[in-house]
Amino acid sequence: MEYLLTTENLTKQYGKKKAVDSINIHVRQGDIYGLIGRNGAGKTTLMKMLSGLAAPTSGGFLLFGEEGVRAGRIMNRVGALIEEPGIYADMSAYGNLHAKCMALGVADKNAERELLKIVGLMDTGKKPAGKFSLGMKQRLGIALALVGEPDLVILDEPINGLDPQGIAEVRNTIERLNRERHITFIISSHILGELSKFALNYGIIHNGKLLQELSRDKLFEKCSRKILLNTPDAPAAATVLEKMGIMNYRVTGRETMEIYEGLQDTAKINSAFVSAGVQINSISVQKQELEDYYLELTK
Amino acid sequence: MFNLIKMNFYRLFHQKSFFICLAAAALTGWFMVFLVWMTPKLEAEIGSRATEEKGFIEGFRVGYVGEMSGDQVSQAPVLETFNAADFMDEFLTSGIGLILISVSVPLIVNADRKKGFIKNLGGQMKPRGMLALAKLPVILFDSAAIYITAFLSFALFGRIYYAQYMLGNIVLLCRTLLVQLVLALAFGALLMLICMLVRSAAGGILAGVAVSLGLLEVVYAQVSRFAVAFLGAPMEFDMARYSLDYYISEVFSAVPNSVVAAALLAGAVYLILASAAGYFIMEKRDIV
Repeated sequence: MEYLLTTENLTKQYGKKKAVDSINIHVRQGDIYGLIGRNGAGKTTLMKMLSGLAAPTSGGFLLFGEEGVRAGRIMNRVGALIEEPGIYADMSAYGNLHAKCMALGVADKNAERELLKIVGLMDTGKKPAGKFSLGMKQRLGIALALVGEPDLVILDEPINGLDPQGIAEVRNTIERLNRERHITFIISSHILGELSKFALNYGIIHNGKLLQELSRDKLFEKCSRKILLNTPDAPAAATVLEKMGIMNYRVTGRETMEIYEGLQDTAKINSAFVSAGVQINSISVQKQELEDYYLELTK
Repeated sequence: MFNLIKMNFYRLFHQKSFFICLAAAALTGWFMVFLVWMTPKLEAEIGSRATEEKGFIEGFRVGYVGEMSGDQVSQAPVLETFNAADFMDEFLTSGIGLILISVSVPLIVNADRKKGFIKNLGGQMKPRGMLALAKLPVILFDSAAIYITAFLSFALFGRIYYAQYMLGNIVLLCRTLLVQLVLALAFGALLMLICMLVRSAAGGILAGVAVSLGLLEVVYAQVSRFAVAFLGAPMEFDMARYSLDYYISEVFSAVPNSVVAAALLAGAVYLILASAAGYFIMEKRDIV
C-alpha cells in the first residue's frame, strides 16, 4: 500500500458554499502531513470528513486501502483532535482518558497512565481538565486522540494559541510518536513556519481548494535562496555553470534557470557567462520566506 | 454498545447534577412529609372553629384527605391514612418527579456535547447512532434513582415524624413504579431527542419543565378543537389522551390494569419513536 490515505474529489457543501471543493490529497504511511491554509480555508471541514465526524457531499476517500462503508468500519484506527479539545471539564485528565478507553474497549489497564506520560500530564492528579491551561488541554486532546493506538492521527491546529514552550512540547510529542510508534499524522495549521519544522509533506489549501501538494524538500527548495537567471541560451549557460563546478541548478523554463549554490559569487558567475559569450537578460539573488511563498500562492 | 453504556455510567457517577437531583428528590420527600405533619398542628393552633368554617374542600389541602358523603364533605387529617406509597403516587402523578427528570436527563445526555467530548467518539463509533441508544440505560437508571430516592425519603421521614414505618401497598407501588419508569424512559428519550435537535441541554430542560407543569395542555386542547372542527375527528376526540404526560399523570396505585396497559403501550410507542429518531439523527447529522 503506497498511501495510507487518499481522497478523491472530496467535497463538502453547506448551502451554496463549497467549504471543501474536490480535494485530492495523498498521505503516506508514517508521514507527518501538514495541511496549511488560512482560517476558513476548509482545513477543519476536510479533517472532520477524514475523521468521520462529517459526511462528504460528494467524493470519497480511500483509507488503509478500504473505501466507503468498509473504510467507515475501520475508523477506530483514526484518532482525531478537531478544533478545541473535546473534554469533560469537570473530570480529571485520567478520568477523560478512562472514559474514552472504556468506550473503545481498550483492554490495557495502564493505557491511561501511559498516555498521560506520553503527553506529560502525569502530575495533574485530580485537577479538573476544565482548569487546565490551553497547552495542557491541547496535550490532553492529543492523548485522547491517541487512545486505542490509532495508526492515523488527525490534529486540527494543535499549536493554536500555545506559547513557544507549549508549541515545542507538542511538536516534540508528535515527532517522537511518529518516530517511535510510526503513527501517521495529518496536522493543520495556518502558521507555515511552525509546521515546516516537523511536517514531511504539505497540502496547501485555499478557499476550499487544494492549491499544491508538495514535499518538505520541494517546499524548502521553493523557499530557499537562489539565483534567478534569465537567458535565451539555457543549454550554453548550463555548460558554463558545470565548467565552474556548479551542479546544483535547475532549468525551470525555456529562458529561465535557478541556481542553488555559489550564491556569494554572483559577479563571478556573471563574468563567466560574459567570457563564454552567453547572453544574459537578467541575474538576481532571490530569498523567499515560507510565509511569503504561502502568501504569494494564496493571493 | 456495552462499552459505550459502561462509559456513560462512568460519566454519570462523575456528574454533579446527577447527585444534586437525587438530593433534590430526597429534599422534596422531606418537604412533602413535613408539610403533612405540620399542617394538623397549625390547624390545631388556629382552632377547630376555623377548620369547620371552611365547609368543603376546594382543592388539594395539604395534610388532609376529603371524604364525600352525599352533599357533605368531611375532612380527616392525613395522619390517619398516611403512607409512603400514597406520597409516591402524588410525587409521580403531580409532575414533581417529572420536573426532576426534566432537569437531570438533559444535563446527562448533553454532557458529551457540552465541551465536545463527543468529537472523540463520533468518528470512531460505527454505527454512530449507538451513541444515542447507549444513553437509554443511563436515563432509566437516573429516573429509577430519583424515584427510589424520593420513596426512601418518604419512608425515612415518615419514620422520623410519625415514629413508625408506613410504607403502604408495596405490591401496587412496585407496579406503579415499573410503569412510571417505562414512561419516564420514554420521556427521557424524548428529552434526549430535543437536546440533540437543538444541540443544547437548556432546550431539553425547558421543554421538559413545560410538559411537567402541564403547559402543553393548552396546545392539546387547541389541536383537539382544530381536529374536530376541520379534520372530521369525533366530538370526544382529545389529543391529550395520546400524550405521554397524560399517562404519567394517570398512573398511580389505584388505577385499573386497563390504564396500566394503555400507559405501557403509550410508553413503548414513544420510546421506540424517540429512540429511532435519535439514532437516525446521530447517524446522519454531522458532529459539530
